[in-house]
Amino acid sequence: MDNNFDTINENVFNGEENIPLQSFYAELKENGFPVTPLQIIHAQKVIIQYANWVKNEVELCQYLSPIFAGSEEEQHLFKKIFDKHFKREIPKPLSKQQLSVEKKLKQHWKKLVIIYGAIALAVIGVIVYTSLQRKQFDPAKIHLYISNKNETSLKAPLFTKTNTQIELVTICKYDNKSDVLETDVQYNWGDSSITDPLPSHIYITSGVYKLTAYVSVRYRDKIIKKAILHKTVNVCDADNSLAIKILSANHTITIGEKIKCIAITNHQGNNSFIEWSIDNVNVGHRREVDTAFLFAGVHKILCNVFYDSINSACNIYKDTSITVNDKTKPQPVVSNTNPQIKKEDDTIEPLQTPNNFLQTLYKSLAIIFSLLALFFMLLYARQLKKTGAIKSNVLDKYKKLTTSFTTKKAPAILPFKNRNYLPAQQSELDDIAKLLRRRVKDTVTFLNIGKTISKSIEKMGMFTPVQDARTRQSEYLILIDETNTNNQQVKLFEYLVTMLKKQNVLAEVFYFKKHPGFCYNIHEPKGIGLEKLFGKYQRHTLLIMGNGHQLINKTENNFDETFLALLNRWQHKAIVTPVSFLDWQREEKNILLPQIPIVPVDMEGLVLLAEILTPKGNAVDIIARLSRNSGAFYKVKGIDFEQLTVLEQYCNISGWIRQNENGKSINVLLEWVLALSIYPKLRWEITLAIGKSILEKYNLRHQLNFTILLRITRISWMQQGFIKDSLRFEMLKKLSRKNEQTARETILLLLNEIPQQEIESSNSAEEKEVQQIINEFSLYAHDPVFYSSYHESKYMFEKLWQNNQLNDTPTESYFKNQGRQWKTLINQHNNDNETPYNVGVEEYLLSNNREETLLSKVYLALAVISAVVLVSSIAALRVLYIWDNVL
Amino acid sequence: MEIQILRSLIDEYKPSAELLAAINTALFLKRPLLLSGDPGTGKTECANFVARQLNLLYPYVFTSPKALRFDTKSGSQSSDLFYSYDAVSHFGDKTNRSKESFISFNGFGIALLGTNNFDASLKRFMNYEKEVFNKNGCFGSVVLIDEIDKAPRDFPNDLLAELEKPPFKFSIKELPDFYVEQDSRYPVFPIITSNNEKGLPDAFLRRCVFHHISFPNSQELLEIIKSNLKTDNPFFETVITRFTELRQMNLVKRPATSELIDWIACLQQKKLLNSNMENWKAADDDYKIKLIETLGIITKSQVDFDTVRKQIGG
Repeated sequence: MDNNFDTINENVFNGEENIPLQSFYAELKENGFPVTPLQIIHAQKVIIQYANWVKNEVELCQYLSPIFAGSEEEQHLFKKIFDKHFKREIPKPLSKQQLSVEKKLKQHWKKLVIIYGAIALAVIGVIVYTSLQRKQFDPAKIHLYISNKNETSLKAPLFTKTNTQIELVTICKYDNKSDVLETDVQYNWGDSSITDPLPSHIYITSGVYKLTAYVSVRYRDKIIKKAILHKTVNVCDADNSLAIKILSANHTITIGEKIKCIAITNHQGNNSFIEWSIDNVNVGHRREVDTAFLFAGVHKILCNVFYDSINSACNIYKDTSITVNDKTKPQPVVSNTNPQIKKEDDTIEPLQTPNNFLQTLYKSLAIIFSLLALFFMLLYARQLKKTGAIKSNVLDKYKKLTTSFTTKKAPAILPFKNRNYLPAQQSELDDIAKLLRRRVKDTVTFLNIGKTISKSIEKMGMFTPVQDARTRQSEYLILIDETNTNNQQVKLFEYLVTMLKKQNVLAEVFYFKKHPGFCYNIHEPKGIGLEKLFGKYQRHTLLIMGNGHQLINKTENNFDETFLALLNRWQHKAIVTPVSFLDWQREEKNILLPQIPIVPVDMEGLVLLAEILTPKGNAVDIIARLSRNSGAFYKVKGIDFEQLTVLEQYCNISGWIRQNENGKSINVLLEWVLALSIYPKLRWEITLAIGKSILEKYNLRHQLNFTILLRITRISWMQQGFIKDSLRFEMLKKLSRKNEQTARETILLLLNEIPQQEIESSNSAEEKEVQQIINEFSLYAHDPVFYSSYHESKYMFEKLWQNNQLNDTPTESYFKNQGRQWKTLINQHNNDNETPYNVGVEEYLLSNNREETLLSKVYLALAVISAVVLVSSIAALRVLYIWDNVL
Repeated sequence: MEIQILRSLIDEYKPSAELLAAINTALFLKRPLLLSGDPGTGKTECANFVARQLNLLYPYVFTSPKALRFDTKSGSQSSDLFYSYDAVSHFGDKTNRSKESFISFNGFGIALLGTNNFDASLKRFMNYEKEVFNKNGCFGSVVLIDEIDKAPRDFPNDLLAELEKPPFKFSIKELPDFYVEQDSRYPVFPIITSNNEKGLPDAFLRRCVFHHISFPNSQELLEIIKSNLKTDNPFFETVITRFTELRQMNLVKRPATSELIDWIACLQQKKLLNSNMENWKAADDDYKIKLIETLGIITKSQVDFDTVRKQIGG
């Protein structure tokens, strides 16, 4: 509400509108409302008065409607125009965004699937690659050690005693894990013995031997690494042993705390030499050494016991490591009884998280692609449901429609809303109405009291009544010739009468068929004779609207005496003929005119009519007067309106040529006439509505007036009430596509205005439905995005088309368009190319059906691709799990 | 003073929002309100509703809760709106009474005289004392000009001048010195009703504030029924549904709201408002007979009567 007022005010200040709501008033005027300055002033006053009271447009409409509307129809029309103007109706079923997404999807589905497939493939590639990487053992991560079976130190030389069996073990670790891989080992013990796979040996002689082990690492019978390990074996005669004992006051060793390291050996001789080193720094040579640590962390303590010489095979050494803690920092809980002292060999580095990154990646991919798969599956299901629902709905409707085809119903004319308010008012009509409204003396008299008293006084008190004739407005009895059913000239006459009545001309309308001797109207549906009619309307002026040829006695070639006698009972009478003055023949000039005044229905003729109905009208020389204005008339007789070229020539009048967007000249009147071929029946309401729509496009709205409508209704087939199929077919082909689109939109608007309950019990319900289907289908086929709400009609049309139930041969032939010989609204939208091209209806339906399922197929493909990636991610995760946990 | 009825106070007449807006527009613009609609849709009653509301809202201006009424006749002239002169009685009078005693004021005339101070000299007129003097002071009025389409075609055209714009005025051509003009402090609000606005001249229509009263919807009907009958009944809705179905049948004359009110009152009185109303055809014969006896209220021709009876299954 406020927004509208703001816009209004803004426009006023910008000088775009002189008065608020000007464009709305203009629209009202275009729709037949008089819109007087007084009404506008009243409207402004009401708006100001109730601006703070009304809450919305609906309420504003309620306040303004009583000012402008003058009838029930106008009240409804006002509301409609108001709604339309302030855009309260939003009929679009799909949002623009949705439409563009669907359109784009349909257009670029190949690209989309390819791109998405490529992305999926790349993702799968990454997954496979990383997984494969994991499957291959990294030889660098394979660590091999040889140690004495009873020894745990992996790095120290091996010690054994002569003539004692040494038993070795080969330890293979992968990523710090044992028992993953198997090994085959061949030992060369360094003495003269042969290389063998036995891990035990007895050295006979003491000394230092170089042991060589040839190790093959296997995983499931596959050798994944070969290595040669060298190890020094010290073989001593004596049974030497060494152990390190560390004594500390506390459970944990802290910085600065003194500890005692004791070397425990079984050697009793004095030829031995002990060497302690801590963190590779020599700290003493005694059996016991005291030391303290300055730094927290793991410290390595090494004890070497040398015998005889530095190269003696009996030399022995031992290493261990201890953890020194910082008192100031919180200490980890240690479960070991002597945890701070660990042998280096037993030290196992903390277990690393097995490739966290890959796990996160695979999990993320699995989540993303499962969501995508789910999303596409939902879209697929929705699409299936959508098309399925439409199809079943269509099937129901189609069954209902075809059942009603076979049901016998009363024939009826489709009740289009009257559109006689559409033509623009011509100023001449105002003048004519003014003349026709003139007051005449009535036969009814009244006692003039004043004059009677005066006269009685004059006559010396003798009562002398004075009667005066009352005056009254002229009244007209109009008989319209309806001999030809659906003659559009009848509608033109009705329009003329409506316009005159609107201008307060008093008229009673009757119709006649064949001759005016017997007339009828809504109040006299059974008919009334001319004689009786005279009895009821003798004071009226009689106007016969028709060519009057029925009044001629064809055998004697003169005015029928019976009719003449009946018609002469009316004091004032005239014939208003649709025959153009230039086409007047003997009938008009020599037979009718001498008896009854006759004028053509052209504006010049009507002006003359108003004149000849005055008391001095008898003196008017009709032929002379019309001849003076002969330039205003045109010849119609002899024109073959069945020929398109002739029709084109007839419509070729000045001021009606316009340029279209391609710079081509276009005859707007011809386009209007051609557009009448879209609807299979000639209907006055459609003629007016299509005229309005087309003329508005070319800024010729003012030309929708009585004069041009007369010109159109003078076309022979407009009088016959139907267009031959062959001509309709040619007209459809000739009509420009833009105007066909406009006309079909207009027809749909008219059809939608008809309340269903009014036609339910008659066969016009089927006519309405079939026409709705045809027009909606044409528009949908032209632009499926813009007219997406007509989607359902495509299926209905297809059903009717396949079963030959359209019952409109010219339209069928036009749609068929075999070999694409002419242009229709039916377009094929090539997905790869933006520009649609024209096709025949069968080709369209075939390819469109393929396209209909396209979206669901695309969604399914995308869902499948997503699922494949999802499965790959899950598989990779599984592999990762196996590697990290099982292996 | 701006006279308006922005909200309807408690009243048995339930105007639609559109009608209320039209009444306010007419009151504000000081234009006659022309109401059209099928017979029985409450056009006439609307005038009394406005009078009642204005009497409640502005009791010192609109002293009467009833609209002054002028019933249009086939021979009505514009002057009849203000006064009637009984020329024949005057002519035959032997007592030599003044001309004024043969003139009586009609609806619009009374309304205009009521806006002016009491004039003792006017007591000579036939009905001045009764219609104006006894009202005890000046007053504004709602004037109902009922069924204007009954009048000759000239009548609405003549009204154009008379109802052009307040202050309204009138004179009596038989009394050259007589002239009354409305005192603008006391509004006179003309409400014109017509069954067929199509017969009215365009110029007349354009000078009026127009509203067509459509047939009310089910909810509005229920409100109207409850308000008029001042009672509630769980079967009112069912009757309205049946009534709406009857209206949709191909009847020569479709029954309107007033017929519905009368019909329901009758059904209630005859104790026919019960579950049988939900399915007439399944009701017992006794019920059907009693129901058919009430059909005269809602059908106005034998054809319609037979059609509805067939529908009931009688």
